[in-house]
Parts: sequence; C-alpha cells; structure tokens
Amino acid sequence: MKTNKHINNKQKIEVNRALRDILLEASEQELREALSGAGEDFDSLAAQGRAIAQRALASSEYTSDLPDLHRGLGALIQMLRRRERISADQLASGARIDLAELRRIELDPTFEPNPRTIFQLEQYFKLPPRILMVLSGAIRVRNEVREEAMRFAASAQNISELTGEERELLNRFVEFLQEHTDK
Amino acid sequence: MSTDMGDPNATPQEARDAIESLGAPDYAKLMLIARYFARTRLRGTVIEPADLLQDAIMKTLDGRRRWNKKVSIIKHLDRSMESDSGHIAEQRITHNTEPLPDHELEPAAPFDDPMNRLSAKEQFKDMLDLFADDEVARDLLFLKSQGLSAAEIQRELGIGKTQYETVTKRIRRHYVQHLSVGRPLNENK
Repeated sequence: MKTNKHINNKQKIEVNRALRDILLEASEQELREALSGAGEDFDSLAAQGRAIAQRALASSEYTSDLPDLHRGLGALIQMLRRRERISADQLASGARIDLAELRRIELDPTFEPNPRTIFQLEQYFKLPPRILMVLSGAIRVRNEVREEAMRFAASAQNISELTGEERELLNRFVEFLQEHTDK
Repeated sequence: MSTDMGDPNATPQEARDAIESLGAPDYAKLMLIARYFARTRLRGTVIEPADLLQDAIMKTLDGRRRWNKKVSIIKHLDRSMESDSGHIAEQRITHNTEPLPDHELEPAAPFDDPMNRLSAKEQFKDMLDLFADDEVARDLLFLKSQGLSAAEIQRELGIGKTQYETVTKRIRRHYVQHLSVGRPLNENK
C-alpha cells in the first residue's frame, strides 16, 4: 500500500529510523532470542558496548586535572592512524602491541603507556626518535610543549579521514616535537 | 502556548548519570546500530562500530552534542551516530578522500542535512530487501516513519494489537539477524 518506490530521500531516512526505533523498543528476552537465532551471543555484544561506554566515561572524568601530554599523545596516534587509514586493530597487529593498551593510550589521558609500546609505535609510524616518548611523559619537557600538545589535542577531535588541513596540522605538530626533543 | 521554560538539554552530570544507568540490552542495541552505520555509510573507512559509538558517548559527555531529555538517552546516541556517520560520509565526498561507490550517492537536496543525501537509497533498498515478502511489515514501518502511533497504525492497517505486536517482533528478529556478526548486508532473506 503506502510503501512504494517513489518516496523521497527524507522519507527513506525516516523509514530507516523507524526500523531502528523498533529495535530500540525490543525487550531483553526478544533481543536474546533474535541474537541467539543469528548465532551471536547477547552477553558478549552487551559487554563490548559496556566496555566502550566505560572507557568513554573514564576518559571524560579528567577534564581539569588531566595529563595534557597524554591527550596530545592519544590525539597524535589517532591522527597518524587516520592518515594511514588503518584501524586500531590493524595498528596493534602491525606494531605488535596490545589492542587494549592502544585503545587506552588513544582515549584515556590518565593511562601510563608502556615504554616498549611507545617505542613500537614510533617504529611503526617511522617517526623521528623520541617524538612519542616526549608525549608519553618519559622525558621532561618545557611547558610550551604541554601547551602545544593541548592545542593539538583540541584540534584533533574527529574520527574521519584526514583533510589536507589536518594533515598539515599533524606535520607541524611532529616538526614542533622534533625541534623540542632536540633541545 | 507552552509554559515550559526549562532547558530540555541535559547537564553534563545528567548525561553522565543516564549513560551510567544504561543496561545490557541498551549496550547490545547500540552496538548493533553502530555496526549498521559502519556497514553502510562508513563502508570502506577504517572507522569501526566501536569508534562510532565511543565518539557519540564522548561528545554527549563533554557537551559537544547536547542531549535533549525529551528523547531517551539511547535514542539520542542512535541519532548522534546517524548524524556523525552522515557527516563523515559527506566529508569523504567533499574532500574526495576516497569516494563512495556511485550507487551510494544521492543527488544533493539544497539545504538538506548531509545524512538525508547519503546512502538513503542503499539503506532503503536494504530495508525493502529485508521485508520483500512481508507487506504488512513494510507498511507498518512506513506508517511508523510517518509518526503514527501504534493505535493509529493498527487502525490504518486494519489489524489488532496482538497482530501489531507479532509484526513488530518479526521486524526486530529480521533486523537483528541482518545486523548480526558474519552476515554481510543483503544476505539474509
């Protein structure tokens, strides 16, 4: 009856929203049964979602007292990953580091990264020596580095592929760190 | 005229409380929805469902995306992921980083939101494929998309409450199966 091929894009979007809304209204029992029928485990899927939310909650707790260098580190790694068009999983595998640790480095400014992991990441991205080490906090730096790291992290709040402008920002930040590591 | 002068937007603490109170079914639903957008609008990118969901939560927590308390927090996160994935897909076209396949592009409508211009045809085709043999399900979805209440849909379709619930359950089951692991788009019929 109503459904035909002549509806416009906005209506199509609305139909897909209606479909998702019906999913959102599902009871736990229904969801368990549907997932089970598809060969997927409800508890495992829910645990993945919960872990994501908990990481986000933990990360957002530290807004005033956060380790600014680590924010810069996380933002830099995410941006390098976007530049290379690789997922976190691919980076962890390629750099031979733990995926969970990589996730924490990217998103949790309170996390203390393992020096070996930092070294592996520097090697993987072929960065000048000690660039990431500076941001990990293993090397004492001047206050201007901390401030630059904060500015960089604030400019890098995106998850999509790099624009030309972002690529330039990334290059400038790496150059800045290189200059300040050499001093 | 409405006398409600209160701010419908949640404070950061309210958003945090709401996200902390989500339960296992909410997380499972959000993961399925994140997976849906990753498979459609973000296909060919390195953005994973986890990235999309985490970004939606982070933006809600830090106020970059305000949660209007008139909608549930889970619906807010759904719409956030919808919007973010739409903008990312739009950006891919604008910056010509890695164009989406032609069949995913829709003619741009002036002043329209990016998400209305992208992938709509593809997504709708998925929906039609999913319920190709189920006319009642398609009609119910269409009427729901028009904002009709359950009672109005039942009246329009000439079905009772029990049949309405049966059809919505059927829709959910097919959709969840459609989004389950290892099932590429359009495979389940």
